[in-house]
Amino acid sequence: MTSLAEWQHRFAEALHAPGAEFPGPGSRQGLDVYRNNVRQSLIEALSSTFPHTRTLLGERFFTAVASTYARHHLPDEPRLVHYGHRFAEMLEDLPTMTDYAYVIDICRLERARLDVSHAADTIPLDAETLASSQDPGALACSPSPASCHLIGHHDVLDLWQALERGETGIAVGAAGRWHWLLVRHGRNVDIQSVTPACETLYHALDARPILGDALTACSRRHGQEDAGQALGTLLGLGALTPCRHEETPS
Amino acid sequence: MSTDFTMLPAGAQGIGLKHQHFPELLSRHTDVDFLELHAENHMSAGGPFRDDLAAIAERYALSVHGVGLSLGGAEPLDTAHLQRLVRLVEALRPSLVSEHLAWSRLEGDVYNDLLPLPLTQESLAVVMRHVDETQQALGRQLLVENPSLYVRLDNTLEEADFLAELVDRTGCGLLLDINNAYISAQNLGRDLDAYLDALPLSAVGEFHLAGHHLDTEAVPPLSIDDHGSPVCEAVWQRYAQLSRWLPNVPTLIEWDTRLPSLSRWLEEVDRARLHHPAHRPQAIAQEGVS
Repeated sequence: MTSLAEWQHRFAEALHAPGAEFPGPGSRQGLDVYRNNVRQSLIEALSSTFPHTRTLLGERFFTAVASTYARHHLPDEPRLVHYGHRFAEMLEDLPTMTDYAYVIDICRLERARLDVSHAADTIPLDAETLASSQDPGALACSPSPASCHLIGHHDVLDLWQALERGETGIAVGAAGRWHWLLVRHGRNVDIQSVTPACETLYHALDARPILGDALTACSRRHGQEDAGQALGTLLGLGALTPCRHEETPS
Repeated sequence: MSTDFTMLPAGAQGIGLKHQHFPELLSRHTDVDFLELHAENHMSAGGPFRDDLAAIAERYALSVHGVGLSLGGAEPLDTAHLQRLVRLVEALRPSLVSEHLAWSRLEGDVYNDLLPLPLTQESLAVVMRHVDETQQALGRQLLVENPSLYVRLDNTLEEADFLAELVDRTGCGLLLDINNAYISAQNLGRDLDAYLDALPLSAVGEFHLAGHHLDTEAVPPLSIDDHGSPVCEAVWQRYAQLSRWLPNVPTLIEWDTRLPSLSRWLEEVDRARLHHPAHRPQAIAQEGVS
């Protein structure tokens, strides 16, 4: 290891150890500035990505959790919009969150919404294109990069809408297993509750983008009628795009 | 047809580009010569953020200011990130592209700050290699910004000499952040004027001005670069002097925390113009030259 690399390892170790002084002619207060800059900027990034989670948890609790997260999970790349992919997971592991599991659903929705917002643009597959295809079963299509499927554990969509309007005090819906599809339309990301058949078809197309094969897999599990309806839903939501889209490297 | 913004007017004055100001910037023309964006905040693959940026690029000249390349990191550059920067620069065709004399990446972790590095022959070789690589990938000159420092480093080269050598051997330019230079001088007991005199001023391609605050709880007190307040008087004085020597160099007023309204920020641009010879009445400008 070069001496610069060694120096940077020592500096990084000192950043991770609150109160530590850096060997050499540095001051403890000076090191604190860098330490605080890193910590504070990451808390702000999380706060910006998860505003509804912050509202539900309260400023102080959110800051404490975000601070812990920032200490244990540094970003793996410099685009902070991609920071916080394991934040919901960390919340889930907190014993104090057991009674507030719906917050974790909101947290996952916020993370997914941001990913969908920044994803590549594609042209959605529409029903007319499908109808005009000579062999629809052979048509290659896949989930749009600007879409995402999530499984929730509480019916939180009314709460989500209320938070979007800046309201609070909305009751959380029933516990259960909910399938949500997030799809970007213009400037907005719409969130729809969808059937398990939709989920199966969506992921089947993600794994193998041949429509006929995906419909067969979906029919086998949910029946032909549900599979057909699922296709109608995905087309209606604009969640599919013709042929496998190689996302613009980003 | 869109305007060619690749060249800035002499003594151009700009401000940072913030999402909060997009609607105002797009709804009316704002009296600035350019807007500077933090590269890492604008690397979306698609969607409304990218559309908004394209609309801004139609109306304003841009400067791309990277904060995450880790030019001073001992590890090789993150080529995926460099390629993202290349694509952003190709898409926006900015007037200026800049990065920092700092590091932020180690073993897969990104420290979201501009961390200092000891200035030695070894680190000079590392930064030179990374600047070369970046300029080659971009196909254009990169400006490298001087840091604000809070700790003394095991330097074997003075910062001004390090930067002069970097400029000489890579052909890069300098982004002279006068506020950073002031902060480092305050915190390290450095002679600011001697530092500025020793810099290769002919390589300066942009000035940065920003506010800072004094942490009086630290012993001794530390000046902290927070980009959250107006530019201080001592920095204005140095700017007036430097802009007399380098009247064509563009100036950016930074403001990243406690973000003001666009109109308040533009007041700071007006102040910069008052200190700049290109924007002062001819008689005063002449007086300044003599």
